[in-house]
Amino acid sequence: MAMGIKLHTKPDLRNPVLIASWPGIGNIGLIVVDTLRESLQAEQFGYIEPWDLFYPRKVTIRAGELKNLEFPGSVFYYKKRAQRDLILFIGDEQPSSGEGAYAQGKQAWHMANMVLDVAQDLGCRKIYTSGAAVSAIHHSMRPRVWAVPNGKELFPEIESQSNTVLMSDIEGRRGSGTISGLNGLLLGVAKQRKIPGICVMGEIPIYLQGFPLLYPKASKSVLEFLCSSLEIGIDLANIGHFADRIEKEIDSLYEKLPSDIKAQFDKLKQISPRTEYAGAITDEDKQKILDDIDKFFKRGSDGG
Amino acid sequence: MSGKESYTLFGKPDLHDTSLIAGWQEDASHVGSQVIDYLIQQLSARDFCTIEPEQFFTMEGVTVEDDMALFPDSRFYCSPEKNLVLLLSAVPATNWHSFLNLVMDIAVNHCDVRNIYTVGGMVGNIAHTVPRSLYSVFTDSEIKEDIMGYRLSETTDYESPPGQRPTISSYLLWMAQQRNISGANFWASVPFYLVEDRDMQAYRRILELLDRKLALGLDLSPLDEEIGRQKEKFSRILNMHPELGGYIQKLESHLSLTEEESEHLEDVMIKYLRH
Repeated sequence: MAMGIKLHTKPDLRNPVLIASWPGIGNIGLIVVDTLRESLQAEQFGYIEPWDLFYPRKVTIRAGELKNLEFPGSVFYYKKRAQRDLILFIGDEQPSSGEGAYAQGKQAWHMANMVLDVAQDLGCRKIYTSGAAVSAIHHSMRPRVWAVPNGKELFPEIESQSNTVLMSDIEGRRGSGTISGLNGLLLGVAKQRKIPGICVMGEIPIYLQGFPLLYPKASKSVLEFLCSSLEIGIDLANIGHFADRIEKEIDSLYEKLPSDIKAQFDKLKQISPRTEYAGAITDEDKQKILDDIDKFFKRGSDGG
Repeated sequence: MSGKESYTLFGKPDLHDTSLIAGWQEDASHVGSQVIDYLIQQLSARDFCTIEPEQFFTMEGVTVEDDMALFPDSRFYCSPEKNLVLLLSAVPATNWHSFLNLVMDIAVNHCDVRNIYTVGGMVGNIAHTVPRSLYSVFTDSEIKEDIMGYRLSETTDYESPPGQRPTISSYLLWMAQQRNISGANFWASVPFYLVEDRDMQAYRRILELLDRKLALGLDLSPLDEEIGRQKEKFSRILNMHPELGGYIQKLESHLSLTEEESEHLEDVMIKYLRH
């Protein structure tokens, strides 16, 4: 086992699947894995030492005395089940040699390899990662799951799931795109090791991507995919309530938007192929709506 | 850079007096990767070495193509029976000289490589109905004389225009030349509207040459069947879109299409070939 990996115990797992996540837009993936961890009461069995990967994220000083220096956690959990056992991994931050929020460089590569080292050592033969798919949808709509596998043999699993699309199903993408950070990189490193894997991304409205808010509505969609695919029986009522509460907060903010901006965002309800209005506008109208929204965001950031 | 940290050998193949054929994952019509894949399948070549990616590629995530996550892989395969080494690799994003030096080190030190060939596609203003041309660049006149006997297009003078960098294949060939290793780049022409799809005829053109030159004993009939199926698909597309027939005729007559015509041809082909 590589330096930096600390295991309290080595659980005896049967044909386990790894589900890993790091922070990203709306923390969609992180909410997914944390919900699984909590609902299944998964047990912690190890972690990755932070020293060479992260800068401390919190200092605690009391009466002038330094009490604690806290580093981002990178923690492994497991759950034995009647069906396939689960390994869960939650990273509090993405290691990065640059300034971005997403992982990159040697440290990211190192982190991905350490996570897979642990998983493979426990007999893992399949992985899932999860993140956000920024999409031209309105927040009142049910987010779909965009699924990207690292091998052709996984297409049937994806195609058998409801509310799930491949990149080629997304208009204008021609099956192409990128998955930034470790949620993508882990899939790539797994491919290199010939471990099948799928990244499942929940849709988040394009206008929410810049806001520091959680988006559990998309996490719920991803959980529905994972629970169905891996036969995980958990109650999704709690995350449903969480999603409702956040949606009310978004609604409240939305109502305060200037009417011209709100009108632009409202148009997203019309351009989705899933709404009854879908056929009511032309492709040109649709492109104009997207261009307008794009201009709006540029205007916003220029003034920011 | 220490070699030990930069590549992993899975086994020590017993290789003598071999040729290396390299193809790149990012290529017009996937010519490089498809030709190498075909050789791997046909010769039952096994992988024996990978170059570790973290020094040569940005570890920022993954790209998605054809609905699947891709990851930069640089992998060597060998067929000792045919004295052949194959390299299928993504084009490095940085440290190109170190990367290619490493390729040369592995080729020379572990595989006794004496000749290096690269295979790839070259985008052309041509129709899918015309035979594919095969262009080549050589390290020296001796290998040129040898290979020109294999029905290649005439050699031409070329200088990469300002702003356009030499290809990674040219760079590898230059590295071979620096070490006094003979080699050649082979480029099959590819119709511009098939750049994002597969061009079986281009693959066949290169494989045919390699088969003869290196006495590989390839069975090209599976490829011929695919060429037949692709031709039927082209016919169906042209029946559905008769306006394209005129464009194809123009290309066959070496006439240029307007930007609008080219875009339309490309859009229709992509749309139907993908489904």
